[in-house]
Amino acid sequence: MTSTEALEDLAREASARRRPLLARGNQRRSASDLHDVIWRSIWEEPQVEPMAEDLLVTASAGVTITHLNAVLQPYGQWIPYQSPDGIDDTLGAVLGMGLDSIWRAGYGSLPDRVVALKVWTPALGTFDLGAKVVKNVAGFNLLRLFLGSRATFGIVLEATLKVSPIPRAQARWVWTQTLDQTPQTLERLLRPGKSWAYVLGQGTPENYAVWAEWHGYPAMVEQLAHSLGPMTTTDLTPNAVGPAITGAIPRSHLPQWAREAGTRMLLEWQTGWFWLPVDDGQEDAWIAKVRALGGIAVATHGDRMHMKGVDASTSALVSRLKAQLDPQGILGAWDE
Amino acid sequence: MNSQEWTQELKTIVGVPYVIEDPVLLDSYGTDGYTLEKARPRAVVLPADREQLSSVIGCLYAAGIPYVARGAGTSLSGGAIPLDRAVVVHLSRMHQIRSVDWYNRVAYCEPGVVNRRLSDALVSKGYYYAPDPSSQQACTLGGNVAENSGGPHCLKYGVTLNHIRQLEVVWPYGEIGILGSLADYAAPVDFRSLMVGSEGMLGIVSGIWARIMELPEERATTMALFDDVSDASHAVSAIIAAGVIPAALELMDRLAIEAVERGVYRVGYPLDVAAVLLIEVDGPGPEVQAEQEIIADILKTCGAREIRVPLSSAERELWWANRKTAFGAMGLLAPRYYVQDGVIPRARLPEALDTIGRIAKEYGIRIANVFHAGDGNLHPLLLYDDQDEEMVRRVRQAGSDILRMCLDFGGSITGEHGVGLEKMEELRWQMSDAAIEAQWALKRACDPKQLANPKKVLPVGSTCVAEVSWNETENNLL
Ligand SMILES: Cc1cc2nc3c(=O)[nH]c(=O)nc-3n(C[C@H](O)[C@H](O)[C@H](O)COP(=O)(O)OP(=O)(O)OC[C@H]3O[C@@H](n4cnc5c(N)ncnc54)[C@H](O)[C@@H]3O)c2cc1C
Repeated sequence: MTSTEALEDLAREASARRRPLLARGNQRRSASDLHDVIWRSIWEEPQVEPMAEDLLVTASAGVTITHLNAVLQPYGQWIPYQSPDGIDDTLGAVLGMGLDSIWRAGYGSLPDRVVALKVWTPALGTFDLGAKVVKNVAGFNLLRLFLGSRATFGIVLEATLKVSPIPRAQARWVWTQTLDQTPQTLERLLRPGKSWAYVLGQGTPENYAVWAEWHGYPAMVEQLAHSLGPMTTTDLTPNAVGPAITGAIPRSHLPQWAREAGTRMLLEWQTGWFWLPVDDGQEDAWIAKVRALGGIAVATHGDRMHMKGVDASTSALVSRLKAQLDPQGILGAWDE
Repeated sequence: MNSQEWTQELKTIVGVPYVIEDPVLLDSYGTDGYTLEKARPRAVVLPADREQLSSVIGCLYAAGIPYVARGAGTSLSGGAIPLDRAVVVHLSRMHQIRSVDWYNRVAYCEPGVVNRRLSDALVSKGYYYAPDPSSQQACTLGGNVAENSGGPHCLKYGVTLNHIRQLEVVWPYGEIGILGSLADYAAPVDFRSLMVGSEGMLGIVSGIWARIMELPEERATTMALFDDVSDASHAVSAIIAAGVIPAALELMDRLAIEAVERGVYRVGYPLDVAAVLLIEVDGPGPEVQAEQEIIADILKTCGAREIRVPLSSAERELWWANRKTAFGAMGLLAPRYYVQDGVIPRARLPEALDTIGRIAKEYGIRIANVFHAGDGNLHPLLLYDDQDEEMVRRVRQAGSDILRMCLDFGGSITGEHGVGLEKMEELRWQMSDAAIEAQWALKRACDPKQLANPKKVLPVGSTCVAEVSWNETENNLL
């Protein structure tokens, strides 16, 4: 049975039982109970089709990032995604939930990598969006509707992404200092024309650790070693698996946010990207704090698309879109 | 509301001089950079700011009058042509760079700001705005957002979409909305990204918070001359396959070289050269040197006849001015040219150029190639004489065949110029009915009365919406 057939069967079942149809990968970021109607991307044989010469790869939604990168490795390529909580996410989950990773500064955002999607919607069935080339403006940029919206409008079945070459050299430095010193450290590190792979900070205001990793060419690493001193081989310690929020804050608010969010937050200082473990049930409150600082955040667990606090006009647009792509409201749930 | 009532209301909103009704002046708004079609608008209105714009759109919405936003009118797909006798909303008075937030690295601009002006305003502080369409001396940021424009330097840093943090839009029902945020993260429903590339069909962009970047520490430009265009295209594929993504990687073939060498910015290319590659890498010094060495090796292996580096920044500027004025230089070879815009997987560049050569022969026309080779974005320039109807027909057919080829190779019918009115039928070749219907869902959600830029981009039913001919439009003047 193809994904489309399975989804259509499940849609009928969901409609008959008046339960939502939920999409799942390896179910590390979402719970479900016995009565839920569930489609699992991992039911299908994982498909990965590298287009190595063109620096692209197509993969089915159930492929895990580790598997994807294992296939790409012999070509000297990778998808720079690594979740701070160490979960080996499926591609569908990462894209559908709107997650991103520590490599965002050096390699760009994950949505910017996606050039094509195969999606299923209750109203229109399965269709392709985008094109398997690096540039394309044919029609609206509709694939973005399905990235981050947690299967509210449709389910991602397959994605084509730009891949990155594995860097020829990489090196990491770590410093411990005060939080207040971090902006100066950042100024000292930044090199116009290329970002660090990451400049991550975590800790107390008095005892704040900064990891900086450069990906590039050996000559550059040598030059950096000369000016920055000895490198480290210490790995970043993964955050515990559990509820968290992730997103980004405008740079101007980073010091304030670093204080407010506390010692568990991992913060990327070049982009304002962060990953913040929070107590169960506190996601909405933290997302609201991020919004108040002009940022955007999403929960790292669960199906719900957090729309609280969104203006009435955007909310109405979402409803009108939902009514056309999923008229019976079979998919997911969002708070209006 | 009758026509007198809404025009009167527009005049009250923007002031009498800023509503144009004189047919002669209206005709100058009947076309854009796509020269194969034209249509006369019912009126042109020039709002001065967001508030006026919102009132204008509110008025047109209430009256049920279609409208089309216009920046500089350089669209190459007929995006700014006023079909359905649409009112042209010309944004040229909204041309202020409102503020620059150096800390968050964003410039807040009105939509009528000319692309090049933004970089010019930033350069003294060591910053620039990366997307650089070749039309950047004229085209506006609003037009760039609507078309999701690219440019020679978009290979490494991405196209317009990758440089927009936040947008202010006037929705088709006149309300003002803010999409995105100053933070570098997509909202769960990412309307900002949906608005970019929507060709003025979902709303009018009234404010743009564009990401600005520090000028790179170093820049190195290389020019490689080839005796065989196929060798040049192999070199492009090899550079990408080697995992080097230059800031820019452009190709011009012999006919294009002939044109630019007749233009103002002469580089002095040997006239027997078959192709030239312009390659630029940037970043910190050691990275730039490493990439330049890899590239030089590949160029030699691929048979470059000569590799040059500029002796001064003035020479580098000249090379880029030469490249960026290539489209216009075609006017020195033929009365008219028709720019195609398609994308192919980069690894298939040599085959694609061969096929374009065959198409030129088959239709008996001359085709020059000047394009963003690094991202497989072809721009065949089909030369023609608009007095020769038979030739115009062949040119259209040849353009169509080129797009078929792009799709056969697994590519796209447009990489940066958009669908506009030009490629509505071809969109059908690329997208399934379901995908087109999904696009309509977005259009209907944002523009329930379907007044914004009517009869563009999305085909209706089994055939495209008919284009309005000049005469028909004239007869329909109010
Ligand atoms: C010589 C030449 C070279 C070119 N080179 C390139 C290139 O390298 N790369 C590239 O991508 N393009 C290129 N173009 C195409 C063109 O310049 C771009 O598409 C440009 O972005 C259009 O900007 P504009 O201000 O002229 O928009 P217009 O032509 O006025 O409008 C284009 C579309 O945008 C809509 N629009 C305009 N302003 C707004 C707004 N504020 N809100 C909503 N919709 C709006 C219009 O309704 C229309 O659909 C070139 C064109 C020429 C003539």
